[in-house]
Amino acid sequence: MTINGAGSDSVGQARVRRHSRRSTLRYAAGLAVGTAATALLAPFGGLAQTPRKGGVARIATEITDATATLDPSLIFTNTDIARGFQIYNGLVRIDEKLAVQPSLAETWEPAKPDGTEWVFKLRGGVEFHDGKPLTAADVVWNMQRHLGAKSESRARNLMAAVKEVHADDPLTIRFVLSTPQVEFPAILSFPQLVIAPQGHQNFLKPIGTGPFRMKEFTPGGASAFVRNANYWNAGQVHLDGIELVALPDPTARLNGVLSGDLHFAMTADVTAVPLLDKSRIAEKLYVRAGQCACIALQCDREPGNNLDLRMALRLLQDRQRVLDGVYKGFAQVANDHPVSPTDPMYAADLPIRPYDVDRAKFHLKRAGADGIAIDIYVAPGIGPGVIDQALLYQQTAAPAGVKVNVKQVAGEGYWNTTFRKHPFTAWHLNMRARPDHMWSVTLQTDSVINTTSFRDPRIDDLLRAARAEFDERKRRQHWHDLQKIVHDDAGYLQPVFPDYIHAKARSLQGVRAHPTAGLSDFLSGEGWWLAT
Amino acid sequence: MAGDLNALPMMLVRRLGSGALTLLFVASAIFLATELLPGDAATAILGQDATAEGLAALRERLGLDRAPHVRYFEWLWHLLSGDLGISYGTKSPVAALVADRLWNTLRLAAFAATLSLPAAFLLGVSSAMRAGTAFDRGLSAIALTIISVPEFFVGLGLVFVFAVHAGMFPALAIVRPGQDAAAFLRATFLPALTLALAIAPHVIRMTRSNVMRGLAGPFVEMAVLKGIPRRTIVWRHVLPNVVGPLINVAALVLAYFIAGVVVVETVFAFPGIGRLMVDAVATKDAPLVQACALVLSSIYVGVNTLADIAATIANPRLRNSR
Repeated sequence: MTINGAGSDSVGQARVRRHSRRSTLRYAAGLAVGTAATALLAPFGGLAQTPRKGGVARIATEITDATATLDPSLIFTNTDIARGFQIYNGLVRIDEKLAVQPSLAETWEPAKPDGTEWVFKLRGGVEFHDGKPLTAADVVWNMQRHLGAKSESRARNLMAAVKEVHADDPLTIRFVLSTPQVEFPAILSFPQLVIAPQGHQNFLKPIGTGPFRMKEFTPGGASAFVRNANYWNAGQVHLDGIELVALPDPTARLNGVLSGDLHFAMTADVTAVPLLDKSRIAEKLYVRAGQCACIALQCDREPGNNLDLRMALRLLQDRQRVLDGVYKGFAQVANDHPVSPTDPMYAADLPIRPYDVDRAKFHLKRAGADGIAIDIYVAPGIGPGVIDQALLYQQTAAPAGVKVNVKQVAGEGYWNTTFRKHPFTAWHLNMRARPDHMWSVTLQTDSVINTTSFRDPRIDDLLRAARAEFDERKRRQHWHDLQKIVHDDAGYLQPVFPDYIHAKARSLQGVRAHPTAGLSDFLSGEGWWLAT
Repeated sequence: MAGDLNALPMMLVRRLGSGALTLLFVASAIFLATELLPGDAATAILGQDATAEGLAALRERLGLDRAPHVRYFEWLWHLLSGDLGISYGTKSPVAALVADRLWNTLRLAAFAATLSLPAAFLLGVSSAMRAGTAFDRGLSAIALTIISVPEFFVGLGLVFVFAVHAGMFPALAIVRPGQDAAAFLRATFLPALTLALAIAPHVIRMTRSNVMRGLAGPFVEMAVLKGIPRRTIVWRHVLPNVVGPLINVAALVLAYFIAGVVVVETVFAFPGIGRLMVDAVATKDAPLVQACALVLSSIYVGVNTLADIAATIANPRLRNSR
């Protein structure tokens, strides 16, 4: 929560009211009022405990650190992101209810009614770690690093619609877009779009506006951060420091928390839950989310280019058994499209596709695919539980005469050598703050990684219409239609959305589990404190 | 081990020469292997997000758009001028990355060797002296049991008992900047113990069989006939004769502690050079992989050369032949 103290709460709510008056961002409107009021209490189990000052929290992230970087434009792994959000702030942030909240920008509004121009007002009096004041010029410099065909930024595709960025005055930034984007502010929450001082290129000695400053950073090693006493939201920074290390081995991460060496370890396996529940010093922290971990069926080649076959194979998923057996209940049922029930745009009225062997047999016959044998390619580390999903699918598909062969390959290089190179491959993607952030890369017909090679011009039309639609009811209808098309016709063998499970020390307070997990700023240490 | 002390400089020159050739061969083999692996550094770095343009731009910046042999000779040329290059992944100098991890690994290896070697040699000698007794057979059984358990399992068992339950030692061997020696020893106690347990049985068995062989020699019979006490026979006459093979065992152990402990590094999340190399292979970070391979093979060659020299010096017959 970036809103600081009682005084600014009213500011926050005033801003929210203005947005709802403009019928923009009902995401923020409906939910943010609640968050603003309860955010200070909720993390502490409703008890108004006073956060204790001091202490160093030790956290472990998941992804190996071989490409560690603190250049915002190159930030990629959840380790980079967790480090980045200690040091940097974005213009806005996404809270755990998926609402856009102010960060370095205090207010924003569309400067044109069609959503092709946006104006952001910066918070005044914010200083970088080196004492220089934050100005619009810094923001413009950072944003321009992501624009243009030559940019190597990881956010280049996200920012593709941005034509120009200007500083109107020292605290005002104007974004000019080539196409309407009513959800443009949500894009600016991405971890690459944080703000460093203009021209600062030595990212081994990073400077930001964030709650902590860099004390130690060697790529690939443990890193240490100390409190930024000058932080613009200093009242919410209780820890003296943060230590962060990347531990790719899940057992090592879990042992770290169970033995008290670590206060937080990102993503634990469901098998760790009983150990965490039993522990006196550790506990689980889990959150319902929309992370996709499933099998992608390619729709543009044999055998998946037959709709009857796609229908049959999707009817052979026993969603409840996957939920109970593979994920021990730590998942939500999915409906063969990548929008989860956690997302406000979820189409709740679409009936969940049942497990129906008879109907599957009917479609198999129509497809002329009786007794078909398929190879499903999976790899360790590509989506939690996907290997077990595939093995279970082998059993649930057998009664219809479908022979499933699960082929396990190496996780290294999976995305470029295996994924989508075969008709059935494992897929994993973290939840995005807005479904559009995912669909623009996985379902738009011209997208580079069209997950199931499903190309339907209706999807492009509906996405374009949704992006230009300020009326939330109409936008919701577009998203309903999008989900229906993919549910009916595409190649997602998607039985569930796994929850995110993390391991944390009981002494660590104020952590808010986030549905977009590793993509969010939930490890920034802001609001965290250590109980004795 | 051929040669006497006078031949030592000659042997050293030969060893250095063949060592350099070995290194060149290893480096070329590693380069070839990383080339043969599917994908390259650009695809590894960009991962699922890779676009054709993004890949092309990154390849151009990393120089991966050039032919493999051009890159190989450029790397070799830089190496000869003492430049290990820049890591593709982190864009920082490879030399610093490797030095940092190597220092960690060397400290852990020294710790593990201190825990295991003296005790294992003593136990091996005692076992040989008491061959056939209950002590000998019991020790042998325990050693065989430990050898049969995979080392990651030993490591996890130690974590479970000493870290999670007893809370005596940390489960993770996290190396922090500015950590003092005591903190380092505490943090790395469990991995060092795991390594020591993994290697000690081998050393005990090798020591025992070497000492037994020495005890069967005719000079021992002579010494017994002269009435020299058994302890003196073992320590004064047998051990110097078998010290050569034992030093070689110790050298192999040290080399293993430095180069072969990736599994233990993973269990304890220890930032050693083995994990650096595995991560570098995963990201196809060729300069880093090659530097790690060079360092590790230099250590193998170096430690073995040193062992031969030490064995030559320690052997009384070779020592007195000048």
